[in-house]
Amino acid sequence: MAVQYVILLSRQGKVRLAKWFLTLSLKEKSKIVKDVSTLVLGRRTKMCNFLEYKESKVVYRRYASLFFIAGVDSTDNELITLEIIHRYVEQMDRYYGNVCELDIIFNFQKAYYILDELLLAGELQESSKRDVLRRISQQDALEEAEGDEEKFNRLGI
Amino acid sequence: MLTGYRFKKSLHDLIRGIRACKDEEATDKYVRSAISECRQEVLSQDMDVKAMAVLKLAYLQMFGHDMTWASFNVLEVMSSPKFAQKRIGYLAAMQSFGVDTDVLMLATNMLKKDLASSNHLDVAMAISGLSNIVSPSLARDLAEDLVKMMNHSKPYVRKKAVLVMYKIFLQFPEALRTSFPRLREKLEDPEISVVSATVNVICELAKKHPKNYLPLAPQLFNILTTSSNNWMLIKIIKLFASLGPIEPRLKTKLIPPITNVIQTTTAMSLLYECINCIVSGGMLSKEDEQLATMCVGKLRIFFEETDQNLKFVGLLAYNKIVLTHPLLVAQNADVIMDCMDDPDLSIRERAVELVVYLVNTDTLFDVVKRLMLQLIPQSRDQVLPEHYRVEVVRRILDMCSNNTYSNVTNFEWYVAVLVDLVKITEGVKDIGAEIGVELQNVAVRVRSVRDYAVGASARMVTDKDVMIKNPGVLKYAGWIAGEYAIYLDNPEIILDAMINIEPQTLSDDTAAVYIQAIPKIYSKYAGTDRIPWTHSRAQEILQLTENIVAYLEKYSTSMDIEVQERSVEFLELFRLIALAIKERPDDDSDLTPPALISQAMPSMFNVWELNPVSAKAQKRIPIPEGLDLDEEFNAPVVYSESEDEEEALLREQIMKQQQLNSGKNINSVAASTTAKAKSNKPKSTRDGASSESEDEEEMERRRQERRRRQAEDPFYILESDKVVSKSRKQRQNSSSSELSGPDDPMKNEKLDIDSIPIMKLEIASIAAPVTKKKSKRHRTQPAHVEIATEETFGDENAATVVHPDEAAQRRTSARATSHKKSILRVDARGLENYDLDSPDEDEADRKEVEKFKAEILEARKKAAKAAEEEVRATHIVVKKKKKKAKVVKKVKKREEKNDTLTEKPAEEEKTDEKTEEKAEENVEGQGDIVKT
Repeated sequence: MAVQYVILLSRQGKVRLAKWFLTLSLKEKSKIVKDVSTLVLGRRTKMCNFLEYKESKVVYRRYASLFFIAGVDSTDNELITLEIIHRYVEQMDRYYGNVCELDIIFNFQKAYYILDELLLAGELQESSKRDVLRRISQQDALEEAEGDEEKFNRLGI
Repeated sequence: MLTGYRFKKSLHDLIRGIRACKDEEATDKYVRSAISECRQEVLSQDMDVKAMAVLKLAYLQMFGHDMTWASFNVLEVMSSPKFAQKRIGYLAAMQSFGVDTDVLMLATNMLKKDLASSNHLDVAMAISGLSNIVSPSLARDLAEDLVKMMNHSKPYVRKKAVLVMYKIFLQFPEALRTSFPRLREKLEDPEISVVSATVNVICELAKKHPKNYLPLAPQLFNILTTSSNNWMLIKIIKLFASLGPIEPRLKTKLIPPITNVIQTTTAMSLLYECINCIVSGGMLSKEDEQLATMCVGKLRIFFEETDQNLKFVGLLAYNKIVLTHPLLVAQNADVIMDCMDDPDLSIRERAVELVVYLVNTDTLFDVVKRLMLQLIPQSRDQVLPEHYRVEVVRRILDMCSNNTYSNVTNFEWYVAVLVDLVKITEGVKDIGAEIGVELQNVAVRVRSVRDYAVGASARMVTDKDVMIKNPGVLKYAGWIAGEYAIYLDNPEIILDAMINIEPQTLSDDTAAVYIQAIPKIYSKYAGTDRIPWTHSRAQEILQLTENIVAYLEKYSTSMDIEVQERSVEFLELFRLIALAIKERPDDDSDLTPPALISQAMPSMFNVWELNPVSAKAQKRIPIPEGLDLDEEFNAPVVYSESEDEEEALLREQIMKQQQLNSGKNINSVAASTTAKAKSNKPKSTRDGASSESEDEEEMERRRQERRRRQAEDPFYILESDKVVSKSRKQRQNSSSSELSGPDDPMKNEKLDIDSIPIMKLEIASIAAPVTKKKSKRHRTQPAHVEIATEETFGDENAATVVHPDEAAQRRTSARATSHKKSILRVDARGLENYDLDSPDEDEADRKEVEKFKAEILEARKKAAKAAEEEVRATHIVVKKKKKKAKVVKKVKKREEKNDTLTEKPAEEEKTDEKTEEKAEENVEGQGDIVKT
């Protein structure tokens, strides 16, 4: 299992996104979020981006006011995990257009959708930047078309 | 947005509402009302309202609010024909469902439908969703559909299907067999993302059971040499790291391309992965000097960058290489040492871990000093976290004790370090005991520094601060003070300090040690002959004795069994002593102290000096030849009519034995049976016992008998010089790892005694000269310090070199460790034991049973037709039915028979069945039966 979870955390310690690639109970999830949050928020800027937590590794990076945190297996490559995180941020930046924390707060489901196109079962599924966004826009277009159709139907009635 | 024209709260409203709340209480209230609204909304007939409610719940779930109660509604939204709603449904399901969610049972058909959808976006969504919610039953039911999806026309679906297969395998390992050929095909997929996905899956699978995937090596190797996609290359290399250890031949094949990548790549992550692969893939043995040099050299680049992350992973890699190539890593000691003072604790920890292997006699002082400085808090708010401080202390102890203290040249310094550590680590839990063990170790092993260590221990025992802030060390300090009381400058002060401690302030095991130490110190103090036994002296000792009695009385009711036992025992002794002193005349006429003090007490503690004994020594004692614990010690008593007859019988027996033994030499070690013991006897009576006169033989026999009895008696102590001389001989014997060689002239005479194992251990450890290991000579010409090595049995060298980890482990064996299973670990036991090479027993068996059933039915029908043989036929069938559950592994044999069986006419079939039955029975006899 490559990536076990991805958590987006604000500087104040508020969870903005929590995606789990393992099935855990709500209680276990809350415990991990709490532990990892304390660990990550306690780090200073000049420290390295890796932490050890239980038998796993935590890789994190701060972008503006958000911490992007990924939990990986202890045998996994930390450096490439960092690149995955960066890739995710890049994708969001393109999708939302200069992404900021508020974008993610108010459109949290989109952030999940992008992540679902980037990772599946914790593995990177697409290394092409363009492809991920193309899929998302396809899905959005389908949604929109449905919405339009519905509006016409309503007007028709 | 979806709810633009409805008077319901949208997601935006909810989020805004939460953000508007001033404090936690208000937020909580708001969220609770929002959830109760959702409870109503999910029941709505309007799918839009329902979907929005589910989306809101999914949002709240992120903050830990339960939404499992809405699982069924989530399922409803998932099955919506509208993509927008379906998307929400799947999102909510992925966030909230677990393997044990009960509505998953209802999801199978819906997922099947979505997987078969003509819209590839629906298919993709179902796959993504499934990756998160797959349960064993879902995996079983959908495995086939997903295998089909691996050949979907769109690579977008193919790659997702491939990736989700890993999740399926985890839940349903049997799927691996049926889908593996398809998975293997995907390595050749024209689309790179599909190949990459396949590599990912195989990489994960290979971590669990690498053997299955060795046949893929050529294909994977091809990808390794041709691809330029770094993401995939990293996975391929990781995959080879799993395969490497089980197939050593891969090494020669892999090293050239991997070296090539190392030399050419600019991506640090790939470079790091390559080095990691070489190290953990078992490709770096001690001989691979060149390869190791390259890795170590490349890693140095990591330290020259300012990137902290590279430093961290560089240290991790060095930590692995140092095990095989310590000298090469030591060349980079400069950059590693720099990391020891890095502001980042994670880096520091790794560096300190590494430094343990790199210190030598020259650098030890400096390194320990730097680490100790870290432990001293600079200011109140800059205290390092406890786990780091504990780690540093342990590493200091490791690097000093490493390899039987080969790096320590000055033991006064080391004892001083230990004393300082006790001071510095005040308040750190449990570490005191670990330092204590080291102090004890040094005091026992290094004679030259013993008085110094005893002094330090004595100071700790009397120090009130230590008692409050670091009590763990006292158990060991107390022991040292007691055992080596002879080195104490002021035993009376120590005694005073010990007996004035209130019982509840000491832990039970420390108290037990103190109770043992007090009599030792007392006997040294009171039993000394330097101070004349005057009246005033007698009074002083009496007072002290009574104080000790009072002290021991406090413990005699302790709940701890060890403390209670020791205190009660010594209590009686001290009462006797007090009595003995009181019985002395009141004047100065008798200047000798009571014998109880001057003789009895010292003899209790000071007869032999303690030496370190290897923990493995007991195990190394060879089991005496011919030792049979089941054999009777005493032959059953033979009732004979006269003594003479018995004697004659015995002699006859002896003669027989002698004849038997005359050819071979008798050195059966333990005379465990009477018969064997007797066989030794005539041998020791100088060959040819029969020529000796009756009396002489009888006397000799008795002497031997007695000697043997004494030797066997653990309470019988032989004269000491005899013991020494014997023990020397023994050492000679044991050093050649043979108890008594065939041409050893001594063996005949002392055979009995030498061969008693219990005596041997005692002698060796008590009287044998302590083997001493001299510290290595270095350029600095340090003073010779003799460090007693652990005594052991047999192969001495094996015991003297103690691996640092082992030493640390021993020291910290008392440390409480919790090996709780981490929740982050994926349960992949199914995959770990799943071997693709072994025939699929379950599957084959099931098919066999089916086939068999069909045959039986057919046979039954045919048998019914043949009326006159009806009875016999049904009889066979019944018999066969019983056997049905047992299916023979040898599928081929069976199939051949089955084939012929169907072709043959009905009459012949029966005879065939009979033979088959017999064959089956035969196989059953061989134990080749597999039960379904």
